[in-house]
Amino acid sequence: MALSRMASGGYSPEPLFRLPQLSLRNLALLVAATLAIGLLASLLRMSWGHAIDPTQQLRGLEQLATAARLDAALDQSFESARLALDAEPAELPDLVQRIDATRQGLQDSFTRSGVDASVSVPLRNYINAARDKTAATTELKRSLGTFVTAFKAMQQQGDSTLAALQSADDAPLRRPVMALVSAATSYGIQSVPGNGADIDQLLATIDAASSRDHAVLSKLTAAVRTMRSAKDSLQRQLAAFRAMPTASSLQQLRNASLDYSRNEELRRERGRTMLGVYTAALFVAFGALALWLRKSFSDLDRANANLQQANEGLEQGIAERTRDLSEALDNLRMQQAQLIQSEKMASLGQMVAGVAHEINTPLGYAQSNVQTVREVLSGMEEPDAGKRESLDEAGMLLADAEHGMERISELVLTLKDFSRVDRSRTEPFNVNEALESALKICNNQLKGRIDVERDYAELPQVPCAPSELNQVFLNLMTNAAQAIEGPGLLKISTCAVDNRVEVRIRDNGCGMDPDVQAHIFEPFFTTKPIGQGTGLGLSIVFRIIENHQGQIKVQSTPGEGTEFLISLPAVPKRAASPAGSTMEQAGS
Amino acid sequence: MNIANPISKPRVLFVDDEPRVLVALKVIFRDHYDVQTATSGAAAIEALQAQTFDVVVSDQRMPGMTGIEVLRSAKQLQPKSMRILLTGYSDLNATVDAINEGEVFRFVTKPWSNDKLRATLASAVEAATTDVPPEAAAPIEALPDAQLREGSQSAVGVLVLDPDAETRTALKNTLGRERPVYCAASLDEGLGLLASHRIGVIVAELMLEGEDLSLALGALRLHDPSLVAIVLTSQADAQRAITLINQSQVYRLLRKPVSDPLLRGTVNLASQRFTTLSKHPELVRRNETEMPAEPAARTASIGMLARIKRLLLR
Ligand SMILES: Nc1ncnc2c1ncn2[C@@H]1O[C@H](COP(=O)(O)OP(=O)(O)OP(=O)(O)O)[C@@H](O)[C@H]1O
Ligand SMILES: [Mg+2]
Repeated sequence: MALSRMASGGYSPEPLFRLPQLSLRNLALLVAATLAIGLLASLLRMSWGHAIDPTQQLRGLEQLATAARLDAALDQSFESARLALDAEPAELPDLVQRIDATRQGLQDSFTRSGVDASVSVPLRNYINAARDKTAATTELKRSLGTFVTAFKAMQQQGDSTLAALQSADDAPLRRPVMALVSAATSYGIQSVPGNGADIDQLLATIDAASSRDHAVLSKLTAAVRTMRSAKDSLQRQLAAFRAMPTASSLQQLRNASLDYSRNEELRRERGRTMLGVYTAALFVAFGALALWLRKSFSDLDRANANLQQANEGLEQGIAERTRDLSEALDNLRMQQAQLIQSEKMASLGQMVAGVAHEINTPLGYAQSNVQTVREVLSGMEEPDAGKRESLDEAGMLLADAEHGMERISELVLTLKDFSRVDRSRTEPFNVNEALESALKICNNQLKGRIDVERDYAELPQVPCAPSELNQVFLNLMTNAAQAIEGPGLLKISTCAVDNRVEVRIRDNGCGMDPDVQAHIFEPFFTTKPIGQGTGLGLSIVFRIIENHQGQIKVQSTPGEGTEFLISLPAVPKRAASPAGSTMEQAGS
Repeated sequence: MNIANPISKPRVLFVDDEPRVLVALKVIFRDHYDVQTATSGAAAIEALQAQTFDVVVSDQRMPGMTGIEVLRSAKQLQPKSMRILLTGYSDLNATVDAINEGEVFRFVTKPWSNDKLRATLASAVEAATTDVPPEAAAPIEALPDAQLREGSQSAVGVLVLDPDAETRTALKNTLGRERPVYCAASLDEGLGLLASHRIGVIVAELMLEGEDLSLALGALRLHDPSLVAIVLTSQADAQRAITLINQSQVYRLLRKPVSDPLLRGTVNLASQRFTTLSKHPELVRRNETEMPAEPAARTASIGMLARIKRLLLR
């Protein structure tokens, strides 16, 4: 019951996922997932995290170029100032300011884009160099001023000297002075003067020529010499100034910056490649996972379906089993009932045998005595009229007594038939014939009232005691006739089934309820009024059928009728020489 | 005593624990017989020791001693007297014992018919007039071969009637060493053998191809009165056993399965009996059978007789 209800309630799906149990496997999966995500994050960071802003980079490069330009311009400014004999380069303050601004900008942009040591070191070098160089401009400016002053003074002195040498005696001096002035001028102008020796020689010439004290001349030579030393000093300073490592450090910074960005780009490139590969791997992994999931889901579905099927099978199996079991139980009950019945009958048989003896003994002498008395009475000669009458009466009474005793002995015989003790002989017999003879005997019970419908099949012979079989059929037919009130139908059919003979005797009489059915084979069970039924009929039938290794079953519905089914084992085919034919032959 | 007084009545002993039965019987038979009664087995044996009787009629179920025990004693004490069991109790064991131990002349069931009982007693008394030669103490075990060959019964053939081939072979093997054994599966076949061989003993199953032999055995004995019949059956029942007594006077009734020594001893006894009967044909009267009471059985019996005659004289 409970089972079928559960099954009919349908299949309630188990949750596919339960709360994760921290098994080793789950733990491993968790770690793997964390690692995968971490790797992805680091790869992403690697690809995009240090993004170098190209405009920033361009600005940096521009600033670097500006700085280089400014640096060159600074160098140039002093050169041109020297050539222009300016005491100070006109653009210098502006240049210095711009250089400072550029330096600051470089520092800012590089610091902001977060560079590593490969860039920051050259940057610091450049900044230091640039600061040193701008600082050096002051010194250089002064040297330039000194030179310009000395140069102008030297030119003035030359002009004045020449003017002073207008005299004829001074004529020989005029040429060297002129040569000296021009040599000194070119010395001052040339960036790398090669005429120092000329100047020295001219000076020596002039000094020799003006051995007499020539104040003008000495002034000139002094001016020349001052200019020359100023120029040399300026030249030296300029060389030092130019040699300051701004340009190279700028170049280094540029290279470093470029290298840095190239490396950075490379790194990012590598990161992207790795990310791509990793992504592809992840995709593959996800695909595999998806496939696996799909497969496991379909497995799960299949398993579910199987389970459901198995459930149904189980249910069916249980139903079948239950049916089998209840059938077996029924069989067992029936067998038990039959066993009880058999035992009852066996003990009854023993009792009957004893009772038969106990009855037969008194019956024996009683009957014998009655016979004797009758003989005695009939032997009496010529009684007178009065005695005659009473003798007749006595004869009648004795006949009644005899009749009663006959009845008793018949009853005992019936009882004995019913018991096992006096089993009678068996011979092959045709059941259809037995049915016919039984019908003949109970004809007066059926006659006119009950229609008999026969349905006989061709039958193998049944080993039996014909008189017993007759008794069986007679009892069943009598019962049927008694069950039918008024007109009715008695249907008798036979058939052969697997070496057995089956007889059905069916009536449309009153039928029986299950309570009655349960007891009908018990001896002395009857529903009929006293005098009409002894209740032995069916118990004798049962005993006889049992003795013949047969079976008897009853099916009955109250108000509709009853069918008795008798099944008897048939004779194995080979031994079938009918005794009846021999007797007929003999009797003729 | 009979010799001393030839016209004296035959003496009959009735044994029953119910005195009223004895009274009734006495009333019936006192006119024609010298009726003695005993109400117990012990009293019966006392009477048997005191007097000779032509017929002993006993009840079966009695306290102390069964009727069969009484009749067995009677057989020992007075072999010449005829034995009848008159009983209301007829189970299989009692009937078988009546044959094998009591060798009873009739088995009569209570209640009895006076007329029939008179007839039975008359034929018993008649049979009792024949003298019984002293029969050698019957050895129940098989005789030694040498003795068998010299013995008078060496040529007595045995006819085995059994539907089962295996049983036939087994019986032939068991009995064949001592005497010729003929086997038949049907009555007709058996009758053929009877006609063509010297056969003194029949060992028969009761049912043979659907034929009941209990009447046929009696019919055969009517034809050849010396024939001794042993029934060896698995289908014994009380009713049949009574028929075998009253209508066939079979010598023994054995139930399958039977041990070899018992079977051989029984056959030896039977062949001795056959030899005796052959020598003293008047003894056959002691085994006279009665006609079946029911008309159907009577017809069958007569029919069987006719058939047997026809077959044997062919
Ligand atoms: N064909 C039937 N239809 C209805 N009831 C039946 C039928 N056969 C038997 N019975 C019932 O079974 C009971 C027992 O039957 P059984 O033949 O054993 O005894 P009986 O007929 O009462 O008496 P008896 O047969 O001894 O005269 C009957 O009393 C009757 O109630
Ligand atoms: Mg009935």
